[in-house]
Amino acid sequence: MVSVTCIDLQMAAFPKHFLFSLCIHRLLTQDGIIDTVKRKRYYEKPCRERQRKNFENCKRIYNTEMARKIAFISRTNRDDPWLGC
Amino acid sequence: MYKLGCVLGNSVRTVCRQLAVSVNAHTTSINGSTDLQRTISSSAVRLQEAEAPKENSGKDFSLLPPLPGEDSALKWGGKKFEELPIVHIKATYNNTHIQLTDSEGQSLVRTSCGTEGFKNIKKSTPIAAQTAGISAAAKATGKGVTFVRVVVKGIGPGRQSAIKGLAMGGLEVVSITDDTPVPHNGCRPRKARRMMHLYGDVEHEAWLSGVSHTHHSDSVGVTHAHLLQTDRVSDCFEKHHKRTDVESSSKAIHHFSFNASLVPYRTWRESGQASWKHTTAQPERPLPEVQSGLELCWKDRRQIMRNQQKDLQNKSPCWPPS
Repeated sequence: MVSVTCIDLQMAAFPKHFLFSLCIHRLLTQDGIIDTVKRKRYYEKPCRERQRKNFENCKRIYNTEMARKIAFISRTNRDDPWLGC
Repeated sequence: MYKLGCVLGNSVRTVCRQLAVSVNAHTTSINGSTDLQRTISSSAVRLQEAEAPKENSGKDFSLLPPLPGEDSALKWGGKKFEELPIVHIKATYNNTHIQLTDSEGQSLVRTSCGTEGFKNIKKSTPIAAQTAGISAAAKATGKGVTFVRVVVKGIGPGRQSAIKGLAMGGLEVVSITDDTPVPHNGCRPRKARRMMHLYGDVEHEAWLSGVSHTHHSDSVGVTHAHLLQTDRVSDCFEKHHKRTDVESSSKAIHHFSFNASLVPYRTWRESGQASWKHTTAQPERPLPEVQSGLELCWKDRRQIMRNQQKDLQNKSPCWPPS
């Protein structure tokens, strides 16, 4: 359920159908439907599929770890910035 | 709300994703206002007022449309949601079809990029889809249709611009539904394409299409690639030999002499990287008329680049071609 906030007043400048299509595109991309449809246009051999899945898994792990590291390093309000020293 | 359509002998399931973000409540019950020019926020407030006695306190609009069973105060032009006509947009990679039907399914208006006068590659552009949408909306308003729900099928270049064209033509879009068929590993699709890139690099189509957006990728087959796939010289020569103009025939022979040195060569499938450049002449595609406010798509820009390259080549007819 999407609730209207004051931010939507700015979005009111856009035509309604544009916002609808943005919303639907975002939802479909998040659900992975657009990627699936593109990939299923041509047959993906099982060997290629396994390679791709492995690659995506590793990439996901790397991205989450890197995001954690960046979030940690970018913290400024720390109790003891020189912990351990 | 999902709509499953099972096809006999096939395990393709069409899941209809009802993502109706319908806000423009043309309520005639409480306020009695008929203001069509409404921002999202104000209409949300009105929606809340209309549904105050019912549920959804604090919920402004929902992704699901009003279902046929339940009563809802939302009406568009006096019609309930399930009585509104439907615009089916089929956005394929090569074309965009738009068909307006009433709520039962009887067809009212049917347009496509081809019926608007576009041919071949021009049909697979968002501009063509927008034009088709505008003409469909004009015909629909002539039949007395104002509010409409949209069902989109397929991912193609005209997916978004067709809806834009409908709105530009005067129809009010109430909701957008996506009905793209997603097989749960049913029929085996065709094999992955390998094709020539514009400057001679062989790339894998499947990998390309998985990375970039469809309408931005260079995954469209180059039109003259079929000439190069044949090893035989006679095929190339026959295609050029059909020209009747003196100048073009001299050009054809000129081009043919370039190609003769390339035969026998490895087929482009065998060669990893194409080490030669091809100078086959292709029928010149006239540039589309650029309407004000519409930008050129990548296909038009590519044609402009090709025309410029051809001008450069024509100025220096020497061997080896630079």
